Amino acid sequence: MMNVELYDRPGPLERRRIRLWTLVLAIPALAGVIWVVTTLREQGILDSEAWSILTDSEVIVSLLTGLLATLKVAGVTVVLSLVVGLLLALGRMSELRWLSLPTRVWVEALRGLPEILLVFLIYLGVPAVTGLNISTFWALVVGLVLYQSASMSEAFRAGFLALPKGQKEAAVALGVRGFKTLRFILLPQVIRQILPNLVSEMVRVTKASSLGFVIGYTELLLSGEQAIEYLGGQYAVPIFAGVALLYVIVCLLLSWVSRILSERLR
Amino acid sequence: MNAIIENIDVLLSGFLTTLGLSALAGFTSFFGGLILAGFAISNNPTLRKISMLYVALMQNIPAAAHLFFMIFILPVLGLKAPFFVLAIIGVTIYFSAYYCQAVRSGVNAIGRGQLEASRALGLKNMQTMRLVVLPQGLRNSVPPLINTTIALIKVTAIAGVFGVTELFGTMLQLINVNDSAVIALMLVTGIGYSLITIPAALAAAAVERKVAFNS
Repeated sequence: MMNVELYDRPGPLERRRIRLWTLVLAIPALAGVIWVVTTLREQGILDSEAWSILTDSEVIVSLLTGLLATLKVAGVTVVLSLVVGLLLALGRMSELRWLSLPTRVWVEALRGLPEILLVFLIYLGVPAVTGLNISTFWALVVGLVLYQSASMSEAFRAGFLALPKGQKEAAVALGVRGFKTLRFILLPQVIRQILPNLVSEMVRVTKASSLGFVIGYTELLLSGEQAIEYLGGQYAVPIFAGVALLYVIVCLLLSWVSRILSERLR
Repeated sequence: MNAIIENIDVLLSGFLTTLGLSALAGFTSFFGGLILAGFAISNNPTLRKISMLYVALMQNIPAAAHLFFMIFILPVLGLKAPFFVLAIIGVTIYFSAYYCQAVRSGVNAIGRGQLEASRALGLKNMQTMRLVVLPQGLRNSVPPLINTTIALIKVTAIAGVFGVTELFGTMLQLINVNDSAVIALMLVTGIGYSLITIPAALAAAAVERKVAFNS
């Protein structure tokens, strides 16, 4: 997000004032940093021996395997949510009231629930009702899709509503039938328009997939926890830092793609 | 059904804990977000960079990882506090970034003309900020602030897994002893969350229409 120009470009006097303020604020900030570093060193957290665990090949492999599992969940969830979200959006915009009303209630209800509740609903609810076991992967994916498809359907709906009315009218005038209007005229424009949204949705899903930790699906966070449990508490901070960094890198890459796309499509 | 009637008081206290946790964490996160947003819109480039770095780092670490750090890793380092307090700190670190973005989006929605006009009128930077930017910016950011708060309430459910007995945590404990009432318990929990989130979402939409109408 870019700031609007809130100020004039600073002149020499203003620049000097800014520098002065930076210095004044830097003193307590520096004191804080020094305090944190000394406390951490006393606790032995900054030992290079503990941090060198991040170069251990087994740790790297297990974290990257976790990352791969995270991306697998995120990818499958996004694709499924796209399909279900489109159907929900079409249902909600339908002229048939018996279709649009229930879809609307469904979407609003699901968007108000915590994702973790939906994941647990599938994870514990499906075996309780049907007696069938569900794998942690699918429990996680279906739970996330329940939530994400509802929020994606709103993105689709906004995309459809933003299209000029003339598009649909022109299609009718040209004699294009209902499904073909959607497939060849409306949908391509809608997808183009909401593509950046979809990529940032991917960021949200990537982060939400960390709920796999809670139901025992070995994604990035859980593989980090397992590594800590296996190696011992003195490695907790370095390994957590590695896990957090991987999340940040993946999410920043995805946000970057979304920014590029939205600039391209404008 | 019996499981719910028998445990209605436990569920209710979980619901109230969720409300308390959300209110406290929401308050501290909003405060943190205001400071970060103040940094982000200041004319000091160092403060702007600090704010950007904080948001980029903290927003992209999942909520579950924040809470995991607070509740599993901090105690290993010898820092002991009740789970409830640790959960508030974890949620605050995460959501300050989101509240900052909400306030910034409101400020960014101010028309260029407003700022040009205030400059043309000869207002100083601080005056522009106080008289032009903040009144309009904060009003614009009410809908995203409400939506961020809704997201925060839903994220507090994760704290239930880490030993905080809020609504979701209470549900998990009850499921452990009443495994025949899984669906009913989840339904009641879901209704509990919806009671907070759906009215809030409606309010956000209403305010949004009003803001759009006024500008």
